[in-house]
Amino acid sequence: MTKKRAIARFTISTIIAIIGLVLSFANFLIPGTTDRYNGFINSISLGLDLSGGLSVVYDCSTTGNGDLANSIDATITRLQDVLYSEGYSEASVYKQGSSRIRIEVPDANESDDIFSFLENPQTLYMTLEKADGTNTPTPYIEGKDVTDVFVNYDTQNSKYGVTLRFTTEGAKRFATLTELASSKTNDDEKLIYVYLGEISGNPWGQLQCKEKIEGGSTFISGDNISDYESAKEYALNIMSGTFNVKLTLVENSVISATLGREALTLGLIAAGVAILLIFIIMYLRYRDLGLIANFSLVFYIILMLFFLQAIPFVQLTLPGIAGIILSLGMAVDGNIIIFERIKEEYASGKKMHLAVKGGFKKAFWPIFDSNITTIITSIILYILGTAAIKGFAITLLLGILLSMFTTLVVTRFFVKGYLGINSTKPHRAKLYRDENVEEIGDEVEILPEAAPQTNEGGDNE
Amino acid sequence: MSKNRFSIDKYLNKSKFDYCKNLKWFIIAPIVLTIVGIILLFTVGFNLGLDFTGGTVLKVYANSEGYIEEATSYHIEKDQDYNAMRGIIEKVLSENGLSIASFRSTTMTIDGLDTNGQAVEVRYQNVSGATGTEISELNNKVREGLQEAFKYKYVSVTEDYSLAVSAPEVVTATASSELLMNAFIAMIVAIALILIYVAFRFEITSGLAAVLALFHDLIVMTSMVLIFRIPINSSFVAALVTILGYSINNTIIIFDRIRENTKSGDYDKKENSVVANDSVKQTMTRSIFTTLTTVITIGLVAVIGVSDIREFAFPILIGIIAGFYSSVFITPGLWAIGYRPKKKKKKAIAK
Repeated sequence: MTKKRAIARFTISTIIAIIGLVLSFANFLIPGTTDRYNGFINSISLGLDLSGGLSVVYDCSTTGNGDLANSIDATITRLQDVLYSEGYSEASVYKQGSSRIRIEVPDANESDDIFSFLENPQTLYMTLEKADGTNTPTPYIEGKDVTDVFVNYDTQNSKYGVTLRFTTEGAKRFATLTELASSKTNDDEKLIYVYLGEISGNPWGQLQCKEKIEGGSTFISGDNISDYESAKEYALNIMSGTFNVKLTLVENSVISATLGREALTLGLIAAGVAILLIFIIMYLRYRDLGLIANFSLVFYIILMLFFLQAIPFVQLTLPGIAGIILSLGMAVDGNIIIFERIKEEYASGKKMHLAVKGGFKKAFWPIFDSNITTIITSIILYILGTAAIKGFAITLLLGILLSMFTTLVVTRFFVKGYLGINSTKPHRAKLYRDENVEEIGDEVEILPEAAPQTNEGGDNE
Repeated sequence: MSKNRFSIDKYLNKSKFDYCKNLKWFIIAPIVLTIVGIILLFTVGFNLGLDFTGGTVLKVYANSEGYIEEATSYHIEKDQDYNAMRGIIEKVLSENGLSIASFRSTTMTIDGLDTNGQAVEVRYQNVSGATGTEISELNNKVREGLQEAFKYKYVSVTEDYSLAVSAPEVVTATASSELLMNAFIAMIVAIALILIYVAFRFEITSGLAAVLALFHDLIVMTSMVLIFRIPINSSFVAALVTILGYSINNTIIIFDRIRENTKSGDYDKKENSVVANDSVKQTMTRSIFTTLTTVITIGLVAVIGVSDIREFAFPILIGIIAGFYSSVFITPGLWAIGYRPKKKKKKAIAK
């Protein structure tokens, strides 16, 4: 690489880095509009401990038979599932006193209207006969038989609807119900009626079934469901109708961010000082190469912030911040492994550019192997972990993938550029060898000028 | 000048220290820590935090009804107010042998009460082992104490509202032993997969040594948390998980060097311990610098951060140091004891 090209490479990269930093940290009014641009760092969604959020307390009373304590426990589990599926992965639900449930949802405010579905529970009933004014048919399926409700799309009829999944008990009864319905002679009579709230008036929907269904789940759509939004509303209402307890709002608070902001500021200060110290250590130990590592660390930080705000289910909590700061330390590791190898290669007598090439080659597999094990860990934690651990696992995985990318691609790109500027003064990169080590001649390798260029992009053999 | 700096690496590289021979000394500290940990686990047990034990929540809020006649009105507005209130609450709690577990400002509405929406919410852990009546007696004492404290200490800001203290309510744990169990299972599965991967990419001795090192790190972390009585909340699980992912790196880097050296002709006829020792020394600068950068970053978090984050950073700090210790002082020695070269033929070819 010629010096000119190398300088061009660094100039362009610096401009990209500056743009990246502005996009990450700056807040400004977009010219010509009234919209504000918020940097990545301000768009990351924050946990309850940092951003505040909503906290509501409901009083529970039983809707029918059943022990209140058991019903509350079951309701708590269901609420957690619903909130998780609604994207509030850091929401927590727990019991307060003996008959109350407290729900806390971070990074939300009153206008988010999260809990409206709780106030409009609609118990689902399925009957074999249609209700007429005088007679109320006994339902085969009731709300408590449903374990899960979610929106689904029927591709054949291009319609949205809800899929119901039944408990083991419910599945058995649904099988009986469908068997009875399908045994009727007339096709028009092979119907199951679905009611919401109460068994009277016109049914909310009806299912035509031609055979016994044993799978334990079914899809319902009807004229009431016109689009995704309405299907979702019904799904949530049906879900809250399975709760078995009646929820009455007793307390509604918005937890303000004031106190969390202090923690956040301290965390950011810690991160800033840590980055500064890493920069200094890297410069002292590797000098020019250290500067390159610091430069690629800047790219790591920009990318990390970008993805943290872009990935929807990442919600940053205090431990999350510590995790990210730790990942900074890990991101430097790859650079250290590579540079130590380059030092060794140079000390063994190789010329500078060959030492760089050899260093990257020999560092590839150790970096790869060590990162793969961490990737395995984070994937397993994502699959098996609870909600809080899932978020953490994603942050960890993101950190590793980005640090692999920045060390193996970005640092490599810059070091090659650097050789175009300096390939004759090894001490500027803190490369030394004993006086008694003889420099290995060029005959070992191909032409020195061509070597770094022709091999660009090839990581391994 | 340059010679001087160069000698740091040289010193680490050429030092005569035998990591394998001294293995028997190096395992003393972890064994002692493990035993202490086990003893503490079965005698004192973990210092479980609010996440696991549950606790009591109460609110101090503005109220137009003036629950006590002499109550001075108060308007919660500025940061100083919160800090002053925190101080008072902290004092009352400590008089009753309790301490604040969480403190936050909220705006809230309570059915049937005209609050102007301002409140602080305090949580504290219940005395462990106390019965329901004991807890509610203590909670009532806390409430009375707070009512007293806020009655006289406050200066009027607005006349319409005074401060009231809500009835303390017991909250259940947000984290359960189920959560710990789940995390534990996840970690065991992850460790098993790491064993398979390392055994596949290296060989079985390395795999077993690496996994043993992981257990070492996690056990040392747990023991230290037990010794220092750090409260265990859900973040401790996250800390264990972080170290599980992080600590394996050190071991892999050293095993990679061992793998490379066993293939090279120079080490053909040499003892395992020589290969292991040289590999540790060759990677020592990297081990030190990487550990240093991570210790600095997480150490800063521990020093600067708020107490919640410190609870998380401390175990991680221990884990990083334990990870350095196990990968340098323990695993190479274990490898040297267990490793048997596959076939001499293969070595000859490599030459």
